[in-house]
Amino acid sequence: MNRRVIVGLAALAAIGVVLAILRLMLSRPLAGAIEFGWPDGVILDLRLAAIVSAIVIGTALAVSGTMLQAVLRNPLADPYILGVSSGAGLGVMTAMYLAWAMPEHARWLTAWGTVGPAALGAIAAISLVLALGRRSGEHDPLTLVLAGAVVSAMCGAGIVLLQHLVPHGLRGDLTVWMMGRLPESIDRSIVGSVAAMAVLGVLIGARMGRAMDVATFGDDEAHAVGLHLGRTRIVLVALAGLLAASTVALAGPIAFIGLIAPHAARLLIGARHGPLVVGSALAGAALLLGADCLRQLIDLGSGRLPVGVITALLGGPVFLWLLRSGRGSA
Amino acid sequence: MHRSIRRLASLLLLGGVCALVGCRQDESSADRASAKPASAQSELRIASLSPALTRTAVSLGLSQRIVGRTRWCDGIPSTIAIIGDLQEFDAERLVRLAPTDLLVQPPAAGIDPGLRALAARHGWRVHAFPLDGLADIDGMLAALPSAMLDPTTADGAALRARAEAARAAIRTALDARPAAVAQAGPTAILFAIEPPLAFGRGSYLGDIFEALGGVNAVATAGYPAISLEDLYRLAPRTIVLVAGEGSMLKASALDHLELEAVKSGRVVLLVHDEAMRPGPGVPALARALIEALEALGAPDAPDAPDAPDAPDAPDAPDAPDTKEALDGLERERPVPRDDPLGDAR
Repeated sequence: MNRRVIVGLAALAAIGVVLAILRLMLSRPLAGAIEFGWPDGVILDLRLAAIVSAIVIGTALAVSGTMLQAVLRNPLADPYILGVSSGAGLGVMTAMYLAWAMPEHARWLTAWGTVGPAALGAIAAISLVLALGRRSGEHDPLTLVLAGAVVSAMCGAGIVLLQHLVPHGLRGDLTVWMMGRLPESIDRSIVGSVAAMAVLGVLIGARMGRAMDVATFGDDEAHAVGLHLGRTRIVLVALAGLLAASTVALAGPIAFIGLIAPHAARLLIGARHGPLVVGSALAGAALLLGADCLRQLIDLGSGRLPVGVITALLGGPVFLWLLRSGRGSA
Repeated sequence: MHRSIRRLASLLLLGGVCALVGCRQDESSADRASAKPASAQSELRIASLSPALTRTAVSLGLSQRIVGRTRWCDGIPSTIAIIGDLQEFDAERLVRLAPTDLLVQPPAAGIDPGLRALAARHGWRVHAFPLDGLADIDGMLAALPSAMLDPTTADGAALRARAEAARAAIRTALDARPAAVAQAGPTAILFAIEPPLAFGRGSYLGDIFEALGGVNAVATAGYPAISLEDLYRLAPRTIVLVAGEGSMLKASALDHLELEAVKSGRVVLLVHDEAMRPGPGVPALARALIEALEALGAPDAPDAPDAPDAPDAPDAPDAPDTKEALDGLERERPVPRDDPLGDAR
């Protein structure tokens, strides 16, 4: 590892730690000034849960984005490009609709809350994209992106159809789910599973760094160095999709982290994918922690802003700057 | 080349100005049309793009006059044509139905200009009523009759009388001041858990609860999103979970939290159709809310440290008399740096 990588990774880790401590100590009551101090008791537990959620979700989204930007050779790719969020949304809406339409089955349909249906919907969407994204027996980036767009649109239409059929109360439930959130009270088995997925993603991503480096050049170059890109694409797209699916199941759709974090890490540690995956994971966690900290500071008199709004407000201008400065190329 | 571009730009500009002028004319003619109410109930043909306003029309005895509805309107025959909703209306069906009056609950962005234009072109009266809080509902019930029917006619007077009766019923229902509401103490009224979304000050149910003598723990206006940490800090003595028709919200949704209200079993689920449909159903909703709180029973006495004005034990050697002790406690009681309930109290 060269010096730039080590310094970059250390800087990202330090930023993440500082933001985690800041989030732990910072708060703004609903009707009051900002407070800064060490919490205790239940409040400490809630903030720790929010921090763990932010780290796990930020890491998973960022690693997913890094993989997709490499294998799809598209610097604008993000985890939701595969229709994951709309697939998860359709899963949630379908479960809600069935539970309402068939109350005798509602018990098992809602046994996992929104987590089970969201995960199933997201995985179904990825599977469909992988099945549709083949041309001449191979997965190629353009077809995968187009398949993602089509699946996303179809799932979106399905959501609208179900929203049309269900009563007002249920539509409200879905709208709330689509806002995205950082869970403050988490089921340890669920967050543990997502965390394990994220760690696995980082390890596999770091190990497949060279393959991703080659994948960014193109099929011919990959073949020239003896890499079978088709298999690499399937593995990485499936893994990226599963990572995104697990975060959507846990927190709903949270925008921009998967898009921005890889670019931010690339600025600091360069474009080699081995270290970039680790850097992206740190950057993703830091970005989401930063967004959550900022959320505590902003008071528009309407309660807490959804964290997805902050990530989009932060991510949008940064992304535009990256595009204009030409630093965001994969 | 440049000349043709300039010509095209001029045409576009002219078209834009014409469209703007046209829109303004449409709106003003819509307003003119709204100013002339019908003289008899039989002349009314009501198309409603709001389930809450449909329910209002039904409660005012106008169900026979409704010719168009949204998919979610109830209390009227299902054979009545569906004309879409406020986001997307079926213009062709509306024109075929030839309504005289359109009922809409305007969204934040306002009424679709296309709907206004259509109404103006066909001379339909557009009645737009926001229904965010009790004041809106009262205002709607006060204004709707004379906007639809000439109050000097027999039908107009009858409609007005029914609306006034509905207003009076709401006032009577809210004057009840039941003990269960007062005993509930600071109460959080939530309609979602992840993240918690609350009926705050000035919201429909927030208004009803406060009018009944309750203390809304969430002093923020509107329907704020709060965090679980906020919920702990607010420390509501009672939590009401409100579920509209079909909602998957359950009474057990908060069971995993160590909130005082949860530990003392003071979480209640209120499933009521009127909860998400503001209108003359306020008395029924208020009754359901009171019954739900009554079912919880009276809360346990607050813990000793929170008990107001509890003097020290009198066996202290230099204990002051009671009045001095109380005065001292008042002086010494630490003032919280942030009291989220301050406003609500």
